[in-house]
Amino acid sequence: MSSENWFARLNAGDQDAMEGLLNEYGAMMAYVVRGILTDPHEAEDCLAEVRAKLWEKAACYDGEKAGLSTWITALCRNAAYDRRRALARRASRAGALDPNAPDPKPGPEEEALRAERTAALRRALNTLSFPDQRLFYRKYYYLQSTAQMAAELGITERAMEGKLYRIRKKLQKQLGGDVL
Amino acid sequence: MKQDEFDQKLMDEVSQLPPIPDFIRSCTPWQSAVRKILWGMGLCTFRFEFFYLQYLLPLLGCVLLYLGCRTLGQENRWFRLTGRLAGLFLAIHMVHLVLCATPVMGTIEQNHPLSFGLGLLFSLIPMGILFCLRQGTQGAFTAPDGTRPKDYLGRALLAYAACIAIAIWCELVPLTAPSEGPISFGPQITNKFLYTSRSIAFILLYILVLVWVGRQGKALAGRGYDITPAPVRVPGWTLLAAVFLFAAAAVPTASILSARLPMPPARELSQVQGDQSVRVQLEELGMAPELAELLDDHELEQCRKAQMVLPLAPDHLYNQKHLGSWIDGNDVLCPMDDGLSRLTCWAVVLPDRQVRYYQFFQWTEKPTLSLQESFTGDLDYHPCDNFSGCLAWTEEGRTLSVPLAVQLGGGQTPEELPAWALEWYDGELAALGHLKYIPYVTFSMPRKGEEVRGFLAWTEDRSGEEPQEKEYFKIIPILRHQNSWLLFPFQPVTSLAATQSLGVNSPFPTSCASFSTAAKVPW
Repeated sequence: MSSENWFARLNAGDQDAMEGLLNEYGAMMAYVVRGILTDPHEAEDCLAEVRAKLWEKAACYDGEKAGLSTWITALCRNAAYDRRRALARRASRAGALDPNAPDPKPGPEEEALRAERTAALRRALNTLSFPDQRLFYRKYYYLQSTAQMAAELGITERAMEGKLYRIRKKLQKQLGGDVL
Repeated sequence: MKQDEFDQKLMDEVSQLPPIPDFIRSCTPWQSAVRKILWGMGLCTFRFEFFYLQYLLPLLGCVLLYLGCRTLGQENRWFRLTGRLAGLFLAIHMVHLVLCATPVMGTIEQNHPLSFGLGLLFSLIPMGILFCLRQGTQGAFTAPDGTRPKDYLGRALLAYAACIAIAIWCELVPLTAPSEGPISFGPQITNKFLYTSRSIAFILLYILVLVWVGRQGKALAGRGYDITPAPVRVPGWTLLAAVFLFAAAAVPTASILSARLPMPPARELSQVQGDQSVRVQLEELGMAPELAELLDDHELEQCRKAQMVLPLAPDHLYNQKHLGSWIDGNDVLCPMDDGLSRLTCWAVVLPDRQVRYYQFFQWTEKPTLSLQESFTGDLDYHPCDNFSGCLAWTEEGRTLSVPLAVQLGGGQTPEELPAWALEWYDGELAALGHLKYIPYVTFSMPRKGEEVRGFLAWTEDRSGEEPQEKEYFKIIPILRHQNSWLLFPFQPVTSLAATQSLGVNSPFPTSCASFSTAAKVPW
């Protein structure tokens, strides 16, 4: 079924469409989320959140901008990553909210700096070979564990650590020492 | 900046740089495993019979098959069994490769039940792999509500079973027959349609197997993320390198170790020399001392009543163009490998129209390689018996010798020959009642030995013939030497020893010449 058809049916409130979509992409969604969130309960909560988002955002999907699987993958990755960051923040604050803490939203200056950093990272990534870029995205975008990457690529964890170390060093060099 | 901080920064920043579309689709461990299995099965089955690819590609295929099955091994017991079968298949291939470098493989191939069993093993293991893969796939991808995935692997299994059925049928019902006529280029087809269609059917069925395995992979691509790949202890490239390094080391080693022929224990020549008076008599009649000194008690007894010793003169050189042999007096000298061989022949005329032939060889320059050698006699159409052979050499100032067991080729009776051969060999059959015997000895030269030499002898009975004014004596000695230490697949020198083949383009260069003489004899 084409992505347009999926979303036409989802927008029409067709329950079977959601079931079919989950049958088709459920395993992939779980794969992305479980790579980022190692706690199975958190991963399950996140998947429930993504399923809800699929309902909500079905109308926002633009088939011309991205393929269906790409869109769903991005949805899963961002939801899982946000949840992971929130968990990390919660752990570091130990539950206490500081009323004097600055607004976490980036200001215009921070936005401009971030755009520069992103451009620099893009240039640095382009210097990596294609296989190294794939490893980089598995590690830093999908946050997969070294063990998982090693098993899926048929190499030992030690060899994978070596590869990631070399990629990191190369990027550090490209990005001018330790500044990012 | 610490490593963790740098990593965290990268994670944050890369959110703005999503990967290429469908990146995650290429990550599924199922797809990569199926791809390896597919390539593995293809390489194990479709063979390219040149540049040793018929051995190398199946080995590569087995490694890929094993790597693919190994990835799935953690998922369920069927996948685990698939991995073990693939490992067994790889091990059998490695052993087979090594055995191909030894005479053992030839022995297995000549034994029909063993050869058939080996072929069956090579066919049934992939079938077992397919079966376990199918069971594992059905187990791993059955939905909680009991919905099973499309069973493409089941179809592949059926197609493979049909391939095996065709193979067994071909084995049981031969579609070919030995060709008739003296000039033949292989077996004759008894049923042209079946002969051609069985190969086409086999190829089509096997392509179907691969197509269905591929389809199963694609059908489950979206759900392949459910597979948890097994952790890797030995990386794929390391395993591949280890397998090929093993092959590169084991094959030449097996080839060298098995190429040397077993030799009986040597004795000092002085211990086997008997009645000196006969030897002196033979030398006085014209036998060269280099041959006379090799004759033991038994040989001297054979020649006790010698009337004449006739040196035979070389009258035709075979293989001169390829090896550059030449005639020097009554000797034929022939460079082979990095050595130089010498051939010479004598006929010892005995009473009662008996003749004892001696064809003698010597390595005047010993070649570096001393693996398989053979020395064959091509006889005339007379009844012959009392075959004997001897190898001698000098080692640490002593002359050592071993008797060589003479084997006989040829000798087929008319009942054992096809119809065309009765006409083709009518001369031999009329004179002897069977094809002439071709005596030969096989041996390996002692590593430390110098002046390696030897002879092949037999007695010819001419009592059934009318006496001639001049009797004609002719023999063709054939000396073969293995010139390559790596003989893969292994080829025994015996495959040529009982033939008149000149061994051009074979690993056994052949020194061969016709020796003859005509003389009045006191019969």
